Amino acid sequence: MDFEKLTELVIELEFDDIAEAVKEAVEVDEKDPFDILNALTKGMDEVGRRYETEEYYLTELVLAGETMKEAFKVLKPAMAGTEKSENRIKVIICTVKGDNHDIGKNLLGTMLLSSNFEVIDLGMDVDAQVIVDKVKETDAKVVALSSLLTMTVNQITTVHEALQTAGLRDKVKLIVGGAPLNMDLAKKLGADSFADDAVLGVRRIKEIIES
Amino acid sequence: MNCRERILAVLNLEEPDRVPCHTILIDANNVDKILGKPQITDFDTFEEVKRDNPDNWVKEMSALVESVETSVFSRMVEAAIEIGLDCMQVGFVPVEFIDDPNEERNLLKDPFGRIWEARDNEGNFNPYYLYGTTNSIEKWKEVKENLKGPMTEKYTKFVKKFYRRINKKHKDKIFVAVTNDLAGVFESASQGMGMAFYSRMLHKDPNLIKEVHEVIAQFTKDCYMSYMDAGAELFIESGDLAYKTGPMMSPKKFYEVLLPAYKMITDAVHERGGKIVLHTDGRVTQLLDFVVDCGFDGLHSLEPTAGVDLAFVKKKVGDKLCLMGNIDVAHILVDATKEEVYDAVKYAIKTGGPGGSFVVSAANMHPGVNVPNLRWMVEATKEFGTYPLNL
Repeated sequence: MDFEKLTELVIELEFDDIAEAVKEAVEVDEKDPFDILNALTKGMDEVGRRYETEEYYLTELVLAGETMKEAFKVLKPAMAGTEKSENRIKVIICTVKGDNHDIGKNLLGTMLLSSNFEVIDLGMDVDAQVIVDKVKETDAKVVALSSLLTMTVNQITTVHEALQTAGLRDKVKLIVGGAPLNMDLAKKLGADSFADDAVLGVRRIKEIIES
Repeated sequence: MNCRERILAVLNLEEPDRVPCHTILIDANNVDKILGKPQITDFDTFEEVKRDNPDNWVKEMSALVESVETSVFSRMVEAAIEIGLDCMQVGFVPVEFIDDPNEERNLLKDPFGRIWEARDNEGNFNPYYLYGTTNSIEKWKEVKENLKGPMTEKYTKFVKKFYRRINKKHKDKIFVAVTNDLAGVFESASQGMGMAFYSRMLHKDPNLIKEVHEVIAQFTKDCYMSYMDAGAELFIESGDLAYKTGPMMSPKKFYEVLLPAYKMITDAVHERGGKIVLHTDGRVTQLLDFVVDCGFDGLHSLEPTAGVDLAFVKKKVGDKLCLMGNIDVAHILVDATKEEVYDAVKYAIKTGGPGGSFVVSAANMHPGVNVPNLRWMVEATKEFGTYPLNL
């Protein structure tokens, strides 16, 4: 199984075939799992490019996420325990308290995984204290919050303040996304950055880490 | 002109005496602020039924849903009259309670396979979508049979009573439109199946998705025809085809898998002399031709915070569609000053109003909308919306 083929399977959203192809690359060809990940990431980069140029839309992004999920079922065990795996930057993702939307959050999670971040997904409707506890426990460098409801955007401030109270705010970057938000509002609410969608979200997370 | 004549004029792409004003709903907490809180809330009733009838509360509550919804929508129309709107829409939400002993939340299910939580909005039920369960072909077959048979029979009967009761009480003071808010064709399909399964099937078997849309459209059409039997003339089809940065799928796919379903509904409504508008949030700019080609008479939301440029939309389809909305619910109707609300309404009327075929309306609605801001929106429409416009 060559790397170009793996990249192609992601670009063409072949969610039914990807797991078998990754398995072959790991077990038969004995390829380095991180080289496989790079091939998959190339595919996701192209999916992101197609999304930004409106060749692909949300349903294709969701499918790309599904394709990566299938690939990770095989790849994750192969990556586990390796040195490269231990050194990945940890990102906590979740939807804020009171909000049960998860399409954007799930897409971001998959795209972060394919960019070699360690993703800690706390799910939906998550209390600020749960986030604080997880930051303490995992030493995550980034918290990414999703809020699709106007009614729940103030939860961003609640999380920001809870992190401050716990003395963790300087140690962690806070990025947010969701329909009612923009960069100005996000910063007013206490976040460090904002992204309109998952593709931009990964880019912004890389930027805030580097800064 | 009365409210009905004003609304029908703009839907016929004519200039009325004044720009009409509308919202897609008023949340029950705000209805309470406008009309005063009832002594017994929905949640009081719910708790009482659960307490008094622990073994059979689901059946009893599900039977009560019909009268609760009629009363909730009737109060909403009363509140709309009180603040001076020209048009308010009502529409039965087909849900039933579920008894799950392992679940602390109050859960509801609908005929499309969606699970909802009945959230407490200051004592009022606020249905909140959690997830879809129609995630296999076998489950879709069950949903299809149920929709085509018992659900159609149940709801076509019920909606007649529902609309007749509400319209009879309020029709002299406001134009009562019908909506399938929370139960629109596209959202019921994609949420019922869950976005992941929906996307997989769209890629693998687009004909299945086309069928799902058409079966739900047939159910919708049958319900709409019953509403028309009871006197309804205007329908607002709930769509949500777009999100903040663009359409959910490519316009080409929308043409392929959704247009036939929408045409089934719009043709049936037009055949009986009715009008039908599509409501969809998000950045819909790429879908304007699609909305026209589906046969809709109007487009609602035109959400400024999703980057919809009203001037562009007016120029592109203003001679084909009645445009409704454009007043933002993230800031303008939540925490903006009176001056900001007036400026937003003035801009909307100046941009969308020339030649008629425009309705000032909140782009969406949620419990955080502020009642004084809603009143300012109505006042400003009445102050600046009289034809000939002078802005």
